Amino acid sequence: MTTVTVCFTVNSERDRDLVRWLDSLPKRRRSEAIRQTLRDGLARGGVTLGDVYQVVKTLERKLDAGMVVTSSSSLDPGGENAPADVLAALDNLGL
Amino acid sequence: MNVGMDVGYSAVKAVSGDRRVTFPSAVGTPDRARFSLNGSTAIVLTHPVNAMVGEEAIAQSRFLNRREDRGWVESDEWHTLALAALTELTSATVAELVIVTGLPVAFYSDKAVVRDRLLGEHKVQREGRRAQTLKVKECRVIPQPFGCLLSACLDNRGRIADSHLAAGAVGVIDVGGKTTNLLSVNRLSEIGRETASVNVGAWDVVRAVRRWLTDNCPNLDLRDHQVVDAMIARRVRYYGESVDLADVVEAAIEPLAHQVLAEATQLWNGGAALDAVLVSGGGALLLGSHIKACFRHARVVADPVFANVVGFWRFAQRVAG
Repeated sequence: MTTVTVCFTVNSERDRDLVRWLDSLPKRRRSEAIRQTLRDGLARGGVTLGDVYQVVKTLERKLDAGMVVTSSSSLDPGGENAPADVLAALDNLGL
Repeated sequence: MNVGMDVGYSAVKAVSGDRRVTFPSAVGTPDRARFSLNGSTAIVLTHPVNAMVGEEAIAQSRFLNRREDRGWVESDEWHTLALAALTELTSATVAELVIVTGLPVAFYSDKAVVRDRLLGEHKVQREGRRAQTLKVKECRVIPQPFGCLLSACLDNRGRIADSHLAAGAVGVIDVGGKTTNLLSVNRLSEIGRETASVNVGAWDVVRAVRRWLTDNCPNLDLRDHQVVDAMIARRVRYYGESVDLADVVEAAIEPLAHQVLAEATQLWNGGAALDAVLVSGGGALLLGSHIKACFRHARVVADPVFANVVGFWRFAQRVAG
């Protein structure tokens, strides 16, 4: 078993919250705390409470603006404006 | 990571998102300059082979391997170049990849060979880096010129952005280094009887210019890429003087244009039934005006040198979902 050192960069402005959090960690416990935080993030499939909050707020704004709700069957599932045979030809390319 | 990659006879190109790499298809012995003022940017693999790749291989290697035959995709050099390109795109110690690459139209039946070589796990190490494990979980091999069409009709997420082009009849003329591929597509399906490969390409122009230089500028020993630079500049320095190459280059382009257009008109007549003719490849800018003179709706695509690989990458984005 070997120790792997991983380096990464943060931006002092954009990532100020991360810099503050990293600085707050006890010197000899930093790696453990980062490992645990990464595992927590991965276990949640990368979706944070902040992400969920943003989605809810976006929906709220759209509903306030009078968004029209349609059933999913009335929409092109790929959101692409192309005939079905063209989409099929594309998806089978190289198979 | 999703990758579009083209390991060609003359150059390797790869794209993943905003990252794009290109280097000459040259594999050599890892001899190093005794000193460098610029810091080393050489691509040196230490595993699975000890080899120097690309520009520095041309400049510094004592032994240089360069192949131009159909067995190319089965060669060690091809594999080394593919791995070198992937390590240029990522330095991650472990990465999962979806790769889309291309083959010339005439050799498309070799697609299973290419797919088998790329699929699976590759262990590779660059000098001065940690070892990398690259896991290729999916690989699609498509006819090379399809990349140009896909670059024009897909967006960066791999979704159809130009449905008119996607659902139309399109001719693609891809002027590569050694081969020029002519592809006819209708509703994103290849029309086999209107598709062909011509064994001429931009390197034929390079060779013609080289022959002229040998005859007219004795002792001027230029490597291939230096000849290309001279062609682009349309001049070369010879004993401290500038030699104009404009007429020489134009005369060298003429037979290539003639051969490509002869094949194209045989396949597509005047091209009136095609909605668009797209021109791509390293030789697109050499032949573009000749092709436009023959097919009035022809256009050289944006970034013609990288168009195929950008299309491969966009399709990889789609394949990866």
